[in-house]
Amino acid sequence: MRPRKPGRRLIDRRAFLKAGGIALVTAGAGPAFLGRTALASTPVTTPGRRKVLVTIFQRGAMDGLAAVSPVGEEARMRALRPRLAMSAARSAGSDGLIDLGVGFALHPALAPLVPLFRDGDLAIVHAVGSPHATRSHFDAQDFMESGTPGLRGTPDGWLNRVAGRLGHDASPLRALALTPSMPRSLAGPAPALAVADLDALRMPAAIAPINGESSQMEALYGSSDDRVFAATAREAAEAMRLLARIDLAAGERSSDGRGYPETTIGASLRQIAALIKADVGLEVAFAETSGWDTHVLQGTATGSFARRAEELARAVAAFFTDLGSRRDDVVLMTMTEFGRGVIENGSGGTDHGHGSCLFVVGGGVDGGKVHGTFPSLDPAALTAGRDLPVTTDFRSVFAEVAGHHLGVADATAIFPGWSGPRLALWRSALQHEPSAPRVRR
Amino acid sequence: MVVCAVAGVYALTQAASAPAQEDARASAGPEASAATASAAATSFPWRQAGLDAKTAATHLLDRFAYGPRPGDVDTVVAMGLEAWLEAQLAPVAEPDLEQRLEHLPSLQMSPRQIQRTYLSSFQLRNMLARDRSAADRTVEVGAGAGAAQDDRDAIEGTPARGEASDDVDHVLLHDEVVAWAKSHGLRTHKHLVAELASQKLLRAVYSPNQLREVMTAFWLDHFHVSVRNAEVRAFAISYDADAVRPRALGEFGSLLFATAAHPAMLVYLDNARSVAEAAAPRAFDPQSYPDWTELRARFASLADYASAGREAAGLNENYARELLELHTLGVQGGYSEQDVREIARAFTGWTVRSSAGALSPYSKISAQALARLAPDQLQVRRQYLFRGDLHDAGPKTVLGQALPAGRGARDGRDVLWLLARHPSTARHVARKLAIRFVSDAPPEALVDQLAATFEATGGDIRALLRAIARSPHFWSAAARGAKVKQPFELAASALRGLDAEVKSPLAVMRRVADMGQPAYAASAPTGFPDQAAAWLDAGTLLARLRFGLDLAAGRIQGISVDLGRLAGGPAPASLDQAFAAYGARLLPGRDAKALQMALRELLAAPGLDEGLVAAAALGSPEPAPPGTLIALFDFEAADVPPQAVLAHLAGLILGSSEFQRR
Repeated sequence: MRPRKPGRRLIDRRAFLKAGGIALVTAGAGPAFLGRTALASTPVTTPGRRKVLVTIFQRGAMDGLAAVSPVGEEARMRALRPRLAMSAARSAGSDGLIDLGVGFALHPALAPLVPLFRDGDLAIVHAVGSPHATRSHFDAQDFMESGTPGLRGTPDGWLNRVAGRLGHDASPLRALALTPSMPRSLAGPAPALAVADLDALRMPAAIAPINGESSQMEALYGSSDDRVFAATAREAAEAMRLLARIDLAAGERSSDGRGYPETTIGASLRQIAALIKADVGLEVAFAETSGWDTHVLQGTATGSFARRAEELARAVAAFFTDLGSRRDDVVLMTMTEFGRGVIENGSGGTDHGHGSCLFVVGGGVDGGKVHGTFPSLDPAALTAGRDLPVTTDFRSVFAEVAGHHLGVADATAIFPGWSGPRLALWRSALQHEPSAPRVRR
Repeated sequence: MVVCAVAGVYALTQAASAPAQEDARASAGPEASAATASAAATSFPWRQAGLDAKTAATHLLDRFAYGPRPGDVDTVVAMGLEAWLEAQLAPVAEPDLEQRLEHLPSLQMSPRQIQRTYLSSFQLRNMLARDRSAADRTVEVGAGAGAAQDDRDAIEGTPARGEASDDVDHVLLHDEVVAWAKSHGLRTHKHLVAELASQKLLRAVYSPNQLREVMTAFWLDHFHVSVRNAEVRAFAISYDADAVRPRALGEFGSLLFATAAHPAMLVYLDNARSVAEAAAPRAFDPQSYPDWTELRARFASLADYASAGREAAGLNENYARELLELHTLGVQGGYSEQDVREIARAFTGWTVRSSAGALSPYSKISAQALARLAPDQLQVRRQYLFRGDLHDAGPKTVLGQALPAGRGARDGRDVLWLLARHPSTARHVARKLAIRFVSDAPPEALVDQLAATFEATGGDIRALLRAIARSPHFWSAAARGAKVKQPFELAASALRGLDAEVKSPLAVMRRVADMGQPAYAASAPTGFPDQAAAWLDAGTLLARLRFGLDLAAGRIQGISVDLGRLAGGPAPASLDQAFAAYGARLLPGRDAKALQMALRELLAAPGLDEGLVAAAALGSPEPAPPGTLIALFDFEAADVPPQAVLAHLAGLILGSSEFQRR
């Protein structure tokens, strides 16, 4: 330890007191521990513009039939779900379903998605799900996130495998989950970051000790042979240094008034948009929303499903508005572990089912359509007599998105043991702009 | 503490459905106590693992308690590790703790009193609006019928932003609602959840019955209910104090019964709303009861959860599925979709008496009279209610076992007995205990052994805990320090290690939530995860580090830390002395040389103290308590590290991976 000189310190203290603290620290004459950056930090270049895949996991299993209803099955839906079914007829008014003009109707709470569908930016895939029959939330999420239905031991998540195959230099913020802990989808050997709120990695600008703190963290954990702590600390420190260099707040300010809901998913998408606009090298983002496990009083135009749906739709719509000129670089995909029973349960809700639907939004997507094969709702045709059959393996959608949008085309590497076909979700180069579907509303 | 329904229900169910087991247990009494005596004699194999007594005692305290307080390691060594564990298995009275809990009024209330005193913001907004509507008709109160269920603004933490306001109507500001409630002698759900969280921390820090607290937390995750669900909140304190804690060191089957019949669980996993299919035979045949007409009138006036305001018909499988997957057999435990369905049928009619219909004519009928009137077809124990008229009376088959028709509440009880003694349950619980106490990926041999113990003892939790402490796997190098502390464990062990005085636990519990673990509010029915991967990420690691730094520096409200007393002698004259003093307290029995080297370098930077003062003044998420700055400047002696540096040192030790593990 270096000898300390009380006299100097005393003077510094007086100066500090006199200067009121802030001045001293921000003047750069400040304490050494706040200024160790230069020694410890690795140089970070601003990585620049990239294609971005944004994924949203709807935890709890979204009722795909409530979100996107087959118009031709209205009578059957009414019989199977007397308390939940809604009508797409004009007479139903604003409480009715929104007829998309393609044989399906959106839940009214999803109205904010209608412009994206009409403009051909939103593709819906219906009767999608896992080939595995589990009705356990935990298992089904695990299988979907690992990308290996039926296999519990897969060590890493499918998005991590995608991130690991992107090639080119990685930004510390290449793969980011805005969740309190690392989601199964992004867990694995490729560097990835999980943080509930980017603010956790930022300190008040008045003192800006970020670099000091990040270096302290690296020194504290990096010196131990505890690899878990060391790796986490290094990833966090690099992200903090990168965030310290950009003006994220500017991006966030410009998103005011875009209509983001004041909820977790709204805040997550807002921060993701700010990162994209700041060109920090984000390529794979993950966010989640919960509350889809609607066993009780699911409701119709209002109620627990409607609140979740509206929140999600508003967040997604605000996100694409907010992206502005960057929206062509971004594809957003939703996913959920399974669907819910076609037949309502005894408490005005739905129990765990099988097939559901998902949304793919973004530039180049073959939107304005409902993709996949929608099965009959004849009870005789339902899985186990009560569930929407899965006609599209979720991997054929995920592989298409990773391959087409991010250029990671090696589907067997992302989904070991699977060699199914990709579901075509992109407009071919020769294809003309789609004619706008005739959406009622 | 309020004695609730559940103990009664368990006694009732045991007496009714399994007299044979009761007898067996009673006759096993003397043998059991003989086993206890010999238990203490069996020594734990820590010497064989090459440990010294202090290191072994530290390991034991890290796992079977919320970490050592200063002096605990010596105490455990002196009394013997085996004797310490036996003492922990026989909880003692906690007068000091009770005194600390006195200021939390909800702990003294029944769920019904709580429902009357603590209201959700949705309820309060409605009441306030009603109060004002005469004067000002422009006040609008939004949110639909489901708002109460989704009202989450009582929960501090993780979803630090957003989630809280999901369904909240902002027309009436929260402060206004709170002020109105206060003026009417009412409290909010936010207070209720805060009291719940506060008692959890106070118990973990101060209870002499450390192992019971550790196991209570374990079972609360195993049989998870979440206060994110507004309807659970009024029952959560009773669930913790009446259903789980008294059985945390008892028998697994007893816990299973207590949780199954508790209103908190019945509401959380929706069984309270699960009703026989319309076409199913109902257990109640009105004609068979001479008093039926009168009874029916009473039924109608008893507003209960299942039928309140809605047509009730049809199953809700939520509880049946989680009972199998999470509480008993485990997802690979060997059950079919048909079993889920049949179990859901078996539990139809298990519901909750709502407070709204309070004390209808039922209050005048004793439980015994009811049982005579309709044995197994109608039961009321405080807020647990079994309604035969909502129960599916048809025959069922569960896991190959036939349940004959028409036995009412016995169906559910038989299912619980069947599951409590199933080998898959033994294995499932054994694995979870091994993960909790030994390592994230415990050796299969240990799981086998614990499963065998479970089966041999009928799920005796004490026997399982002894088996863990006697296993060489527990003491192996692979197990020691293998567990990353959960945020709550980190907070409790830091407070214990620093011998901090907890005047108000709330600020700490907010930090625990920021670190990813909002108390009683895990969002999935699995409860909080128990493996490192869930707790260590960029944001949370930083939060964990800052927690230690802020705690040691006195920057967390409601907590006072006396570093001078902690050092236990004259103020350290150098950083090395300080490290030796604090390290001995916070990391007893640990090899901390590498850490010391790292800290020496970190703290050697010139000007560090001023930086710390600046950071303390500016970077603290909470305002520094008055006087803090002055205290920091008191130091004038040339060679003694200033207080701020000492606090930083202690904070870094708390932040180190050595302390963050157990």
